[in-house]
Amino acid sequence: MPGSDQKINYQYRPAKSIERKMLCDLIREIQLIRADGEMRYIGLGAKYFTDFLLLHNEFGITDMISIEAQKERQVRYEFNKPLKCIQMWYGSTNEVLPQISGFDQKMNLVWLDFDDVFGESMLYDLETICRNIKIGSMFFMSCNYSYRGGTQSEKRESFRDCVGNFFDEGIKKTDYTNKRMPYVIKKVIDNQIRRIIDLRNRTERGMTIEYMQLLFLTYQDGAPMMTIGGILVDEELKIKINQSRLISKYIFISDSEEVFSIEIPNLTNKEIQLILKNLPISIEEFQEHEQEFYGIGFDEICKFERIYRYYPYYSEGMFTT
Amino acid sequence: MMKRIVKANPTKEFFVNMLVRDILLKQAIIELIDNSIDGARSIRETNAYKGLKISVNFNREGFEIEDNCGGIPIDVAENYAFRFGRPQNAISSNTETTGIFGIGMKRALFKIGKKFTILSTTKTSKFVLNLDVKDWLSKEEWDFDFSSYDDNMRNEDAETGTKIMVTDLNEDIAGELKSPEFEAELIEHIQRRVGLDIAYGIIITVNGKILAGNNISLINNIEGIRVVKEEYDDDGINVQILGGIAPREGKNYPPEKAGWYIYCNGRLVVAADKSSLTTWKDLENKSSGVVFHNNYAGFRGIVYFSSKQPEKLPWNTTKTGLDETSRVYLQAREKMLEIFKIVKGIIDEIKKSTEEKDDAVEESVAKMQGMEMTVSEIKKVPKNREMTIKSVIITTEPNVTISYKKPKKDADELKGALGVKSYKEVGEKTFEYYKDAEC
Repeated sequence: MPGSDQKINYQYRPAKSIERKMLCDLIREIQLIRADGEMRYIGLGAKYFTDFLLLHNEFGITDMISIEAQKERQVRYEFNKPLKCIQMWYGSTNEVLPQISGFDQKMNLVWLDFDDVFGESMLYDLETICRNIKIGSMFFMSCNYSYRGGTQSEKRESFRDCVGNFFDEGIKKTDYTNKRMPYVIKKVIDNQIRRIIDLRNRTERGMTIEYMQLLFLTYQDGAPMMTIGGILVDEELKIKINQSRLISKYIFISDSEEVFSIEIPNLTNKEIQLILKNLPISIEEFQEHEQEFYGIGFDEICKFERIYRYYPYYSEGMFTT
Repeated sequence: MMKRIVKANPTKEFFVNMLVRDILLKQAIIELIDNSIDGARSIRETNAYKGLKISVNFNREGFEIEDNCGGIPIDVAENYAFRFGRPQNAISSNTETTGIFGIGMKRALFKIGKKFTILSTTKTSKFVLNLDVKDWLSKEEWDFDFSSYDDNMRNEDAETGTKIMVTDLNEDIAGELKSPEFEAELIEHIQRRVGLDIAYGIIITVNGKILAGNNISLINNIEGIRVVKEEYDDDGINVQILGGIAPREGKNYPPEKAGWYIYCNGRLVVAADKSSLTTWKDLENKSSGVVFHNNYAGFRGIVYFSSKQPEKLPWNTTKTGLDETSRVYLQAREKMLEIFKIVKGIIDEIKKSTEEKDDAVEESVAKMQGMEMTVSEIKKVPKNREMTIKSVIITTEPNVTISYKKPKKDADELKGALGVKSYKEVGEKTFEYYKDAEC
């Protein structure tokens, strides 16, 4: 994503901030289930390294790789790198990911947090990741899903241009709408993951790997964005995850076609405090005390309830390490 | 009532006339050379082949191959060497041989001619076997008879070896064997296919000409253009996968040499592959890789499978290709795809650097020396996944390309005035003229 960090400071994108914290909850749960220690994080730190700081602070991860496409701005990235334990690898993800070794040494968490529209090169990255990571490792990918074209046919063609040979003729033309695009992308991603995992199961002895999706979410930070990904499991880990009831415990976790949409209602701090004081609240309770909410709608309360634990309660003057 | 049965036993004609269609003459000759090399492997386990020799001689009348590689023990001749197919109880030699399917030598001999004589001497035995294929076909019996044999002998090392002579050549084979083009093609084929054994010191001659091994060279230097290598063991097979950039030959990288080279126990079974059999995209398979084009002419990949149980290796029975569906190969291919991505990334980066800056990196890489990838060199290359152009030391004066459009009329006039043949030269000469006059 060359240059994207010049356009926007990731720290102030509220949906992104919510997503990051959700991811932390998820990782914490998986770590508890797996009950093993060390982890390596591979991400795209850009200039702000927000995810790196968060994961380091939350989990004490000290083995971190940030992939940076803009080789010519190395000095700038080295200056901004906030932690000594972050290794910088310069080059596109297509170039760098295959060069990274040691996937069998520890659990890996890979988050390719792109700003770009989903396309062929991301599928090559997924291919590399799925070929290399071991059972228990997780990977997530974020991307933009707005495609050119007003009509469904136009969108379909611009999607075809972006994914090249990975285009799936089987996807219905009626699916090419702004709203349905995350499902189209998910289908193509699932195809790719299944292809690689099937081959691994055919060729690697004594192993049955399965991909378990954990996140499928959308949000808007200016552009329509989606994040999708999960974990590679064997039978044993799959049973453990199912027994943990992880999927029902967190509303943002999705192992299915159901997409979780991060929607942020526009609320003032005073309104937020009022809502927080009254959560949880049923529709009946709300209707009974509606006048006490000063015109805040029940739908706004519901939206807020889905994300309140992750909401960025900013005050002016933010400073991080 | 007599019980009716469905016959499924093989016929001799199937072996003599049908199976031979799957193999070319040069491949049949390689089979015989392979048998000799297997002999060399069994007497020199450390692959020190100095002093061992295989000579191949032929003309329109006959074909012969002779070696001093230990000979065929008489019990091996009795029980295995001439059986069609390898019996289940065959003892594994526990060396990295190429003989495995129990078809190669017979198929090769049937391909070439109708009469053959095999003389073989080991340290303790000696036999002569004559076979007239026409006679053999007319008999019910499948077994061959020794013309003579002797065991419990004490022969000197120098006396051991095998000699095979084929006469009454098949008509089309006689035609091929007399052509000088065939001889040249065969030499090229042998130099490539068993080049690794030639590098170990075995001398192979064809009609008196001494062959030189033709092996892949890769640049492997500390300045970033390194060989990418992965190595693992898979069910008794050691797999080494290498990818890198070849040294440039003159002004370019010959595209016909680009691609993947796959060896099984030292024998090259796939050469310069640029198809979806390996990591390239083509009509058959579009799911991964890129379509080959000349930008990637410097790419070379090597896959080296070795095993003391050669039946596990992913080759086909003619050893001229792969069993593409074998699990062992499919797993290797997944790793080859990733190694290819790394080398492709570097090749793309070098090209980009030339387009955006100058040709300093490209030309400096082009001047780097290659290392011949013999078996011992392949083993020596350390595991590595990193390649970078960052640390390439610039050893050339960088050039840039200047391009511009000018009216044809003017350019033609200058072409005449300068006495040059191309517009490119017009550009170069006018540039030089200005620099000389004004700078």
